[in-house]
Parts: sequence; C-alpha cells; structure tokens
Amino acid sequence: MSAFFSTDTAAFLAGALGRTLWMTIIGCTLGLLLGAGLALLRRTQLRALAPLRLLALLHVEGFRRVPFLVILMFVLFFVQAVAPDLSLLGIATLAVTLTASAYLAEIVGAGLDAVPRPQVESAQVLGLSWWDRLVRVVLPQAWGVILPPAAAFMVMFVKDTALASQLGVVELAFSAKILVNKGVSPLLGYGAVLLLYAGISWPLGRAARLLEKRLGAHRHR
Amino acid sequence: MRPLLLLLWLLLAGPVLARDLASIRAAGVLRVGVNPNFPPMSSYGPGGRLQGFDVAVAGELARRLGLGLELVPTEAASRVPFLVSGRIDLSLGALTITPERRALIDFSVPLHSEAMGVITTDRLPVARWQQLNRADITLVNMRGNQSVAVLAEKLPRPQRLLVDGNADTIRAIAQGRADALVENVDFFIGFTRNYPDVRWRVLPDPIFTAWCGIGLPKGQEPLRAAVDAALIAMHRDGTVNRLWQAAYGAAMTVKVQPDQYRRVGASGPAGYRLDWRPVLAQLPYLAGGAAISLLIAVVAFAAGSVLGLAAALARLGGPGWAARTAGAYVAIITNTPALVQIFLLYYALPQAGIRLPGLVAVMLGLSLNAGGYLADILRAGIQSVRASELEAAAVLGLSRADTLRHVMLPHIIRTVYRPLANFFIVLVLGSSMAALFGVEELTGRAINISTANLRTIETFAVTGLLYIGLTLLASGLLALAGRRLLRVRA
Repeated sequence: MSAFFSTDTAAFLAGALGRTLWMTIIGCTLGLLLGAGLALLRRTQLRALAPLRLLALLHVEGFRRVPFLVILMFVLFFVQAVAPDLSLLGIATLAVTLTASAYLAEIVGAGLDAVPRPQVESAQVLGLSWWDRLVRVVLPQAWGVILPPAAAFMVMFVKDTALASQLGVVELAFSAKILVNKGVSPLLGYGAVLLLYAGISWPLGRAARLLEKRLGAHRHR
Repeated sequence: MRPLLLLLWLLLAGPVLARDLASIRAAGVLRVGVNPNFPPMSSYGPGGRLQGFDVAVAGELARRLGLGLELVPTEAASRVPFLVSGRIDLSLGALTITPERRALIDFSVPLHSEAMGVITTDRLPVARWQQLNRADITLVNMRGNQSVAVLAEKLPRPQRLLVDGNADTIRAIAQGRADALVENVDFFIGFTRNYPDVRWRVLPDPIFTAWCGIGLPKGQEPLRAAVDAALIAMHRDGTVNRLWQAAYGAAMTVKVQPDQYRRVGASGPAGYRLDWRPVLAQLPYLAGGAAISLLIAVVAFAAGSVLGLAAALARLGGPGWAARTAGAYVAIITNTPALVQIFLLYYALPQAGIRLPGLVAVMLGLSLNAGGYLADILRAGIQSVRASELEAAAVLGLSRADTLRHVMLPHIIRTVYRPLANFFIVLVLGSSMAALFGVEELTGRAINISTANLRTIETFAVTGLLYIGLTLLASGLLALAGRRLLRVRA
C-alpha cells in the first residue's frame, strides 16, 4: 500500500479536479452558445435555411441518442483528421460541447416557445427586425425559463465528464483509477473521489435550485 | 449523422496527414506514443514523469536519429488515429505484429518478444497450460490484446472475463473473479506485488510466442528505414536487452534473434482508406450486444422505479428517520457520477468479501442510481396533485381507493410519464458504462471489434447508428404505449 495522505496525492487530485471543472465549465458554456444557435436556427422560417434546419435537427436528435462514451471516441477520431494538435483535454471538452449543445438546444427551445406568440406577432406587425424581436421581446421573457434548467443540466454534466477518463484525460475518475493501480485501497481511492464530486455538485445544485426559486418568483406562479 | 460521415470520409480518405522524415527532421522532435498505464513498459513515475522500457527505447531511438523526443500518452484505441493523423510518428506499447494490423499501419523489425504463459495462484491445481482447457475455469484477459484470439483457438473451453487495464487482470485473480491469466508473463507479473497475500505461480513453458514492433504510419519508407537501422543497431550492441533487464529486473524470456533483423516488404499507399466490410460482417454480434444493453436498462429501470417510489413516499409522508434516510440517499446518488458509484461496487466491495460479477455490479449500480433520479421525478408527480382536488374528491364522497384511482393517479401519470420515458433513454445510453466492467454489451462489443482490427472509426460510426436506432425504437414504443394504454402524450 503506498501512501495516500501526502502532498503529492493532494496535488495530483487537485490537478484532476481542475480538469473536471475545465471540461464542464468551458464545454457547457460553449455548448450553451451552440445550443442557443441551434434552437434559433430550428425556429427560422426562411426557405433557404431548410437544409441547415435539417442538419440542426439531426445534430440535436443524434447527439441525444448516442452514449457520451461513444461520442468521445467519435470526436477523438474526427479531431485527429482536422486538428491533430488538439490536446486530449481539448478533445474531451469538444465532446462535452457537442453533447451539451444538443440537450441545451432543447432547453433553450422550450424557453423560446414559452413566450406567448401574440407578442412576437405584434412585434412583427410593429416592424421590429428579427434581431430586435429576439433581443427586445423574446429573450427578456425566455431567459427566466431557460436559465434554471440550463444551470441544472450543467451541474449534472460535472458527473458525466467522468467518462472522459476512457480517453486518457486524467480527470477525477481516472485519477482514482491511477491511485488504485498504484496500490491505494479501492475504497479509499474511489471514496475520496466520490466525495470530491459531491463537494462540487451539491453546492452548485443548491445554487441552481435557488436560482430557479428566484427566477420562478419573478414569473408569477 | 449522414453528412457527418460523408465529411469524415472526405477528410480521411484524401489527405496524408502523417509527417515524413524530412518534416520530422525540420521540426527536430520525434513524437512517440506510449501507453501511460503499462508498467514497466511505461508509466508515470515520481514527479509525474513517464518512465519504463518503452520510454527508454524511445529516448535511445531519438538520440540515435539526432532528434529531440516528445512522449504522447496513447490508449489502445487511439494509436492508429494518432499515427494516421501525425499526432505521433511512432507508436510503442507492445504492439503485436499481425497481418490484420499490417493492412492499416507499418511495423519496424521486432523490438521484443511476447511469450505467452500462465499466471495463476495455488488455488488452481494444474501443472501445465494444457490442463486449463476446462469449462469450470475462468481466464481473465485484457480487452483487445492479441492473446484473446490465440486463447479462443488454443484453449476454447474455459470461460473468459475481459477487463480494460493490465492491473485489472491481476486484481481479478487476486479477488477471485478469475482463476488464471494467459498472457505475456513479463508484462503482468509485476502487478502481483500489489497482492502479497496471494500465493502466485507461473506455469512453465510458454504457450506461444508473438513479436512486437514499433508502429509507423503507412507510406513513410524513409522514416521506417531510419527507425529499422537504429533499432537493428540497438539489438546488435545489446542496448535493447540491457534496457529490458533494467526495466523488468530479468532478461527477456525469448530474445529477438539476428535472423529477425531483416525488413519486411514495402508498405502500401499512405493515408487511411475506410473499409466497412469488417464491421458490417460483425453486425449480428453487435445486435446481440444491443439486446444486452436493453436488458441492463430495463432491469435498472424496473428496480430503480421500486426504489424511487419507496424513497419518494418516505420523503413525502414517512416518519422523520425514513424521510432523512431517503433524502440522504437521493442527495448522494444525484451528486456523484454513476461511473464512480459502480467503480466502488465493483472494486471496493471485494474488500468486504462481497464479489459481484461485472454485469451484476453494473445492474445494481445503475438501479441504485436510477432510484435516486426516479425518486425526484415521482415526488414531483405526487406533489402535482393539488390539495383542492383531494378536498373536492372528499366532498363528493369518493372512497380512498377511488380518490387514488380517479383523482390522483391520472394526475401523477400525466406529470411523470414523459420524464420517465426520457429517463429510460438515459439508462439505455448509461448502460454503455458496463463495457468498462467487462460486460460485452453494445459498446463493449464495439471496443472488442475495434481493438482487434483497429478499424475504430468504422466500428464506432456503426455503433452510434445502432444506438440511435435502439433509442428511437424505445422512444417510439413508449410514446405509443403512453397514448394507447394511459392516454398521455409522451
């Protein structure tokens, strides 16, 4: 049994924790932007955009129906062909972005649809441009509906990044495996990492629920 | 998916991405892929630096070629894409030379042997490897290793357990999940030191000897010639055997002989050509895996529903201790990854003397996990029944059973049906984690296929489509059942 309680182990776990957070925060933020773009694209009417709408539909439906593990493998090989210098962490972050964008597109879409149609139609009659309708009429109202489930989704994704261990990214789950392979007891190694995950996820989850209550109160329930 | 595949094909079939010798020399750095979890070949040592036989060989090769060295950690599945794309120039890591792999990548002359022998314990009373051919014996193997195929031929009768890491094989024997490992004894014996209480044995005489070379991208003849020349010189002056001795603390069981120094014929054209036939030939095997994936999801959903309902009722109307226990259960489950939960069940429970097979550990882990999430969904459903409706039912004089049946249940079902159906899809996708515990479901079988033939791109494209088909089918059936049987839209 090698020593578990040491500064070496602490530094190792801290680095892994950093990579878990990096994948979640960067990946989900990019995913939210991409997802918002997809949701908006799917709600356009322009005929010329029809092929793009189909692509958006395939993206959203496809990425929500393939396991994250398989998406990780797929992104790995795809990236090898286009950007061979991207790090494994970058590849995993891209996989998070693509997966999250599919789910977040649905969340954003539900928020957009929650804005009463007559409002959009009257804005159109008043001659507001597409952009003005979006920024001045739709988003201010949709925001409160989108943010709570989007935040909850991101908190949930902290845990899904554990699968990036299979790519060779030394994040929390993989760091536990490495420690256990070095002779640390499985209960201690995996138990410690379980606590670390709970330590991130639980407060963030509380914050997300608080956000939901705050914003929910604004939208007279 | 379709346009994506087309794009992939265009990208991969066309350009040659690997670096040739001239551009490597211009950059001044040789990029070598090593497996970071493969002591004593290569692993992270003190200070997080890679060390081992492969690392020393890579350093020596780079020195003799007059180049700097950059080590790139690679997993078994990423070796070929990394080579083809030029992320690495050479791939180390006990890459067995096989005709199937020669179709995809080139090899140097042999670097070392791979003498397959048997590692077992005093629990198994056999003296020679031939005696292992019995159905009551379980052999553990590392997924994707060449030994898997050889075993199926030489020792067809024993059951087999596939695991993902080198250390996992020895742990499986130490924990009693398997009886013996048929593998390169040199590579694996080091892990037995993690289990000093077990009485380890190595059976005499190797079953089979294979040869491992350095992997190179196709069509890089000058690079291959330079690497071969350096490697042959390293064999001649004893450097390879010296580095082996230093890393393993023992001589190579079967040494590379001078008559193996000659080089094999010229390689084919450069680049990667997609070939779907090897994967499509395995479609029935993959479909069988999909059935196991579905089974795992169904079991986890059923058991999770029971657990979730109990937890939801305990939190809503149970006595204080029950509500608190259920609350803690839901908090723990929903705040930690399912993967780590199953790791604990699979690897830590044996410390307490409870040993679960991979499939059982995954089903149990996913059931516990599903219970936590379903508790939240069901609780929200039960809470969706308004007090005013219950009061109205009471005023109308409905019995408790009638209130439940005609007032509460329709409400609850309408609220929870869609989230439940969505969660079932989540479970189908989540069942892919079983692959990491040696279960041969859809993802596990895809990994099996791709590590043997190295056609990872084709294999995972087909697997992705199978998952899409599987979940579309499940969603469709659930929506139909909801409309027809429960009159809810899902």
